[in-house]
Amino acid sequence: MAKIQRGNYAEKTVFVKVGNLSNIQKDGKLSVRIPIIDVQYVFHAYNVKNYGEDQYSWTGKTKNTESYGRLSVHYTEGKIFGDIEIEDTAFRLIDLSEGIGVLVKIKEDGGDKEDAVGCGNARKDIKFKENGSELSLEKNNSVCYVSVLFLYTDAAAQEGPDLSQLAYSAIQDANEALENSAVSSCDLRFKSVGLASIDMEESSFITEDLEIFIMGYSQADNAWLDPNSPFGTTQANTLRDDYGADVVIVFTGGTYDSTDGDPIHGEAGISVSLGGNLIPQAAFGIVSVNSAMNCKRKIFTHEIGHIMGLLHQDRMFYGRGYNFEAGGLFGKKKRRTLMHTLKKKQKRIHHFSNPDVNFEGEPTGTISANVTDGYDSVERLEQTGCIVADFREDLAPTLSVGITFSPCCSFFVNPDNTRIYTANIDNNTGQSPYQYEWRTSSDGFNYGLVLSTTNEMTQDYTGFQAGDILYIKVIATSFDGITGENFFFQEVF
Amino acid sequence: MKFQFKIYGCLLVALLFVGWSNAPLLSQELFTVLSESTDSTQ
Ligand SMILES: [Zn+2]
Repeated sequence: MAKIQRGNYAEKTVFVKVGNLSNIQKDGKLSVRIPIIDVQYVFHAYNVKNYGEDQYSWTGKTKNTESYGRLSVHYTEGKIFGDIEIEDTAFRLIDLSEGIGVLVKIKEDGGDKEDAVGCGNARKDIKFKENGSELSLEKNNSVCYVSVLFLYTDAAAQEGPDLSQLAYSAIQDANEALENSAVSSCDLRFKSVGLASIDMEESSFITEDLEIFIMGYSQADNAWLDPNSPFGTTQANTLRDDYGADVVIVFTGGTYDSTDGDPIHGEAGISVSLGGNLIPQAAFGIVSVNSAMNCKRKIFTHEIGHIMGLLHQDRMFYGRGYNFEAGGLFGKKKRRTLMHTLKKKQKRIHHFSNPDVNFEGEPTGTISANVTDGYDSVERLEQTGCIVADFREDLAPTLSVGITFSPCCSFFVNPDNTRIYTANIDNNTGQSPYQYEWRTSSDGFNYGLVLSTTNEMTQDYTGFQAGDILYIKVIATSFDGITGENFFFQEVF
Repeated sequence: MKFQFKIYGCLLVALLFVGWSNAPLLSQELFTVLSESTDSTQ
């Protein structure tokens, strides 16, 4: 507690006992009085993963209220932790021991100027190779999990938060962003392959620190964009090999300066260039722990988005962030998707840009006719996911299950539709034949009887109403006894 | 341990006891506040 109070992110703290969410939520609704601000909100489930009695993630958001609110709680290995976002205010819940925790109200940045960017660098000076061949898709995997190794410096550990909880939240948040944005679970999901410390003296310049991991990385001369750049020989690179990590995220503890004095929250290499060159040696990112504690910024998801080949809104490139007017709930407030940079008081929603997915009634992107126009990060992610997932061999393969659906292509379903869901198993994991168990749930927690034992399940949406969510879960078991599972959140419109 | 309990250890134990002894079998609240909120001292 003493340490939490000293952390640069903490403004106010309070001890809380955290209840078992599976008992408290009712029909997908969770009414919560938030300590410190002492206001009651009702959160409506929209992304729930119930892995079993001892592991779940529950995310809900407010509906039809003035304030945008999002609550995301994870329960795993006896610990419950997560984030709450209420309009301009962010909270982080840290588990101290067995359901007793600290709720931290996150401090706003004192030093942000109006033109501060929420990401590391605006990268305006980087030019991509335009002569590279178009990205060719040779999928070696049919269900693509990108393995993430988390590293942390001494300074990061000194900041106080439990970094294993922060890393777990980061992966769940990033996957939730993919799900919100309708990225197919066959094309990309993230998984953690470990958390380890490194010996590293942090500098006050983030690019200088990133150069430790990406050999030859230099923002000034773009040397790192050369696909023939050598791999670094640092401890971090060795650990990456040891863990079989496709990408590496380094938690740092200090504050990074920029030329105009604003704090910098993170920076990452881009491992698939605009022209389609693969640069696995650039798949490193730095995320400041103090910034990552503030769920509003979504720094981890933003930086790993860069590693996956996404860019900021100001690049002439479809895989970029999008800035849109959200109507209704937010009046005329502008909202940004995850790859958009932020000025002070601006907010990111938990979506990558995708013209096919709406947020509060407004499209989250525009259609891309060619490589230089439109705003469609999801199209790019679905191209690069399997490529990045193939950077390193999986050392401890689990059964990777992806869910697709037919008929194609709208993500949403109408009440009079029937839809067939298909489980796809990565051809590199487990021995066939596979056994399947499909179940559905209306609240994400309570699943009914097994509805199908083949690789397909048919669901009739007669009687459903617009706004309903059906939670679909499939568990697959291989002939050699390896199990894997995945979820699908079917929104009805 | 990641956290330093030297000062707060005793308080926490006391709060845990209070929290548990008062807790109904099925808690209906996500958060039960165990302490006054504290401003960060920096
Ligand atoms: Zn960025």
